[in-house]
Amino acid sequence: MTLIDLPPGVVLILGALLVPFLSQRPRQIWMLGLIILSGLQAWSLTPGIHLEATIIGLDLILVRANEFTQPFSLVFHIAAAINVIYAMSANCRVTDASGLAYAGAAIAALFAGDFATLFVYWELTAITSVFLILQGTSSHRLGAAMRYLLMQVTSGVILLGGAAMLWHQGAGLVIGALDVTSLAGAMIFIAFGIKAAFPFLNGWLQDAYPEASIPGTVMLSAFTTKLAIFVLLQSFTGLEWLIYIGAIMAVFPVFFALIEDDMRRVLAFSLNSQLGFMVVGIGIGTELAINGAITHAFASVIYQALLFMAVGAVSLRVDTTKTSELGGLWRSMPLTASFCIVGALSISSFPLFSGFVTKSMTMSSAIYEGHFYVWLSLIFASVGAVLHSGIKVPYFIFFAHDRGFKVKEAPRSMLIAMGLASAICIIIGIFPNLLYALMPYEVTYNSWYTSKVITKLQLLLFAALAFSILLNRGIFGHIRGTTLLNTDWFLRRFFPRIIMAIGKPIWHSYTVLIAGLKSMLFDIINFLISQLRVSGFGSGAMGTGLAGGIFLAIFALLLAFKFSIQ
Amino acid sequence: MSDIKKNLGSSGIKYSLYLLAACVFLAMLEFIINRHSDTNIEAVFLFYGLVGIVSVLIITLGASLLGKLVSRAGDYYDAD
Repeated sequence: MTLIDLPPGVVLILGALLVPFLSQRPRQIWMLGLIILSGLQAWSLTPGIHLEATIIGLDLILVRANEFTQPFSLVFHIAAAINVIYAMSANCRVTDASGLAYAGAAIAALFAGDFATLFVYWELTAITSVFLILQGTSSHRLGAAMRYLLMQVTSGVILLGGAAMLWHQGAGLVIGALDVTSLAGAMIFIAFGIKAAFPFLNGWLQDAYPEASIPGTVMLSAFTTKLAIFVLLQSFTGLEWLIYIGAIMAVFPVFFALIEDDMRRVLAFSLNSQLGFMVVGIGIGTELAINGAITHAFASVIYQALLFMAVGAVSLRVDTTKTSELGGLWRSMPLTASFCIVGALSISSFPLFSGFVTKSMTMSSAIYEGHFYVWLSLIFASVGAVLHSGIKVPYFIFFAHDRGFKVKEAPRSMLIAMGLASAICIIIGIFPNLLYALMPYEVTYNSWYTSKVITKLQLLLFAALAFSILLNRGIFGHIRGTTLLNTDWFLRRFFPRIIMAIGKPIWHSYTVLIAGLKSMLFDIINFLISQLRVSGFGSGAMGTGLAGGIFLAIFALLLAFKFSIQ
Repeated sequence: MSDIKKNLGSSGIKYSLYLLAACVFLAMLEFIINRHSDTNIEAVFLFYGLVGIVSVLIITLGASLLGKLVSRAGDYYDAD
């Protein structure tokens, strides 16, 4: 096997091992070169099985391409390259190495043809990405990283359990459609749901992503959750539950994003909401809906990363991401402001930007299939995206109240990365057929109907008008300097307290019982010794030996009693 | 909340006026262009504009109530 025969992405994982030993410029050239190599490898794969192996009696499909892999693989490679460029100014070997390996693991997972291979890359994404969180500067990063790792590894273990059950049932390990009502299918569904940040399984996302290093957050936003969307497409397309799960996912984070003070956390909620649209599309399962989910995933990787990059650049310069501490930065950082606005317009589905030609496909498929309330909830979530990411993020950072920051524009490498991401958002928005050509099914959908453009503009601008009036009247705003309870509360407060509440009395009773038994035993021994001494029998060493013998006899009796009751 | 109002400054009112002008223009287009609708409800005059406004009101109200329910002191988890 030559290097070129390795699964796409594995080249990046292996190449990452060398990264810590290279100086800045050769390291960056090396990483970009590897990404191009891996990208070419992935692009050259036609649908079908390309690499198989038998390991410890398991028939594994190490490389399999299908109609879904190409668009995901392309956007993952683009994101990996943009991340490398964005992280150049940080010049951190750990971030570079772990980021490259993380991207490689996510890409390799796309081509895994069986659940055992998927499990390996699934866990590798968790292990490599946790270093990005540990590279953060916040004092909370260690706890956030551990909780992130716990959730990700748990997801992997559940996936492995489901896969083992499938194998035991003789169903094989090949990744394909699964029945969620079977135990194995349900376990795999939950494993995927954790990584996709389903409702009540989403806390890790808003907890960990904002704690990562500046380039780390951008890297994290691209891969883990979109990999989950990809595997849901493989195994649960058309599952009706997903329609309702997705609708809840799309709607609820909107409220949190609006009141959250920390911009990176706002974007983490926003990301969660965008995932909801994709999950709805997978649940509907028609050709239009699947195309909608994939195009949206593609566009979302780029515009979400763009928004995280802009907030990261601001954070680098003014050392805060709090809405309540930002404002007026457009004078100092005009290019970053422009790129952020492109990201904001894209996520808001503004015509000529990527979100417009992708998100509307899922929404249309919902109404075509008769899911009226789901369709309404997606419109509602779209309005939410306009408010929290379309208006709140750029407006409160770059405009609003001028706080007198006199800072330099973002470093050149960051500007190049943001410029590239912005260009992709605009190119997709103007020439959607370039993206549609990558879809598994032929796209006959036309986003550019006059009425679609007008209705979308009406939705966005009337919503923006209403929001601006409310803001001007001081009716609503983010909540300053507070912690918002999210579902990670269960992991951070509820379960530890339950464990303490149950465990403490049990531990206390156990220690009291042991202490009582010990005391009773010593009392008996002391009593026997004293009786023997009084009677003059076995004095001195002999007496002690006898007492020891009695102790051993009692101990043996206790042991016999213990085993007799088992 | 007055803090937010102060932060917006006079630029906030200027942006609102621009938006208002754009919305008036879009409302006028309803009389000129025959909109395609997938459902009966979409045919209602300015349906999407109204949905936008109602959604903002619901989100605003919901977020305010949620804020009261889920916001805790900044060091809430640090206290452990």
